[in-house]
Amino acid sequence: MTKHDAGKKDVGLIQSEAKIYARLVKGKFQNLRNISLWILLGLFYLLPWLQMDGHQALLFDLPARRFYIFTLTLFPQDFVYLALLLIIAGLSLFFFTALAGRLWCGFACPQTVWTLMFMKVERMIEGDRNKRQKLDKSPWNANKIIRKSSKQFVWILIGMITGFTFVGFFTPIRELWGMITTFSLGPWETFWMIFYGFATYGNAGFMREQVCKYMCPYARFQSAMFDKDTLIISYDDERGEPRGARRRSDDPAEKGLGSCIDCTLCVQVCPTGIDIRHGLQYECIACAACIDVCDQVMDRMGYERGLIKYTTEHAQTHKETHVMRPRMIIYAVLLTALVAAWAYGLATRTPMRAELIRDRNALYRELSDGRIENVYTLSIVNMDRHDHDLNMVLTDLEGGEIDMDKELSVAAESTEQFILRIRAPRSVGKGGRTIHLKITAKDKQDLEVLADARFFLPTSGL
Amino acid sequence: MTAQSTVPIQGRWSCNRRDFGTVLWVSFLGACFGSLIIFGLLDPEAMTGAWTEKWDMGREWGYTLGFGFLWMVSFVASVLTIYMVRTGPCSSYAAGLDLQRPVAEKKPASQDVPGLKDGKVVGHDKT
Repeated sequence: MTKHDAGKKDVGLIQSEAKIYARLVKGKFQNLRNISLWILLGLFYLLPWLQMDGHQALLFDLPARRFYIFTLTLFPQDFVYLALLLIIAGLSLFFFTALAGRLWCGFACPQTVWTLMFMKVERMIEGDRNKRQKLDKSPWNANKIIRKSSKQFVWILIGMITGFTFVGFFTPIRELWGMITTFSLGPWETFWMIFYGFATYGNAGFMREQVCKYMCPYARFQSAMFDKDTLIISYDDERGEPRGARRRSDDPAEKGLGSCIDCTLCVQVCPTGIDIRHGLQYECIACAACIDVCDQVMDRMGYERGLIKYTTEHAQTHKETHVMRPRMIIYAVLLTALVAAWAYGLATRTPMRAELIRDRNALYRELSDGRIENVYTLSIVNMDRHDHDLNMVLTDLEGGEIDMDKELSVAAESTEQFILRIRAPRSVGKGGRTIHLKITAKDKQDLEVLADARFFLPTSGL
Repeated sequence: MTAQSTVPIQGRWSCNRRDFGTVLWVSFLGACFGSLIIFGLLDPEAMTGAWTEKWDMGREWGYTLGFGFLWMVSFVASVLTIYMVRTGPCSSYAAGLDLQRPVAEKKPASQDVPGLKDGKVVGHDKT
């Protein structure tokens, strides 16, 4: 075994759980990652503060079982929209993975985004890779104590703000802030703030790439969605090898060398600590840091860029890459159909529901004037953000008449129940029949719902 | 076969610990997904009164208990799955290859891993 091989094997076997000191890298893809970071974090931290129609624009009120999403209020009855949204999210992940590999992991996954932020803080306080390594090795002195404790302080602060904001999506954030300032937080809010704050601190500060490697199920099965036309980050073996150090003025061809100067910068910038030159590995989160740093090295050496680049397996073997391929078309068609169904459903959704339930104690009752009476409970859910007075019309029952216990009106975002006595002359018929109730809002004619139930009459004349 | 002591590698989890961690985590994810579906369809308040007459537990406790229950059920299912898989025959069994499988000779880790002695890295620069 050569010295080089022994070193390589040791790194793989023993140091896989060692602390990774990722070096700072700047470049095209890192700029994109930073833009993505600020947009996503901005949305997370600021959205709960947005007000709309007098309440929080985005609020998932679990205790009240209401989801406020901008102008929309979703009730448990709208579960189908949530289920569809989850399916759409899952399918989008499949689609983008098949198209461009682990785009989600590198640019949008909360684990990546928060880790990137925590690493920025670490770099600001402790310095870049070499300084951090030196600091960790140095004995505890004033400088080390100050730097380490400042880092911990900022990390914990970010964790706390994140925990607070997270809970703010479920409990109105302004009220939550009020509770904090008056020390009157409830046990649930306190628990979730600490739990989520601690999870952020632990995942982004310490576990980092271990979460992707050992905990994330998607990281394990995403390769099943890959094919030979999927974008991957890859080192160009053919061009790079044999790798070796050289002076800038040297002609690699003359020395029998490839383009890789073996500077190991691609390994130093990798947040998961892998060597991309060993080929595609499941640890790679496709952050493209190695592409950016290698391009800079190539520029400095005066070589062509792209020794490490976004490519496909087909392109690597000098075959044509196909973007449009059966799996992409199937995913795209399914995704379009689901998004269209979801959007159509939401756009045409009636923010009111009515249910007419028969009183099960008696089939019917005969009144002294000879008419037949059936008793029902009418339950109306008003999912609108306004109160409504309602009109009700009974159809499919000749001479039918409704007697109600109270005025037919429902307050905004609430459920109301009414006892209905429906009476009809015996001459209407015999046995059971389906009756329909058409309920319309007095102030909004297009707000109309139908409810139906069975109406029973004696089967034989007395 | 005589049991030989193997030297654990620093920073690595034992097989049992890793199995336990995986089971705990995956059943947690399963319980999260299950809770989302169950409580999207069911109001936990409906449970109050059905079997907790004297305790008006409210929705928060309903969600918590429901989640805890799902976690427990999926944890038990996952433990049994991993136990059955680990203790059962492997894929080569159907092909009859298990009969020819040589008995693995266990070696201390220091013999397996170049540059490692007693679980500690030794100067592999000299190799």
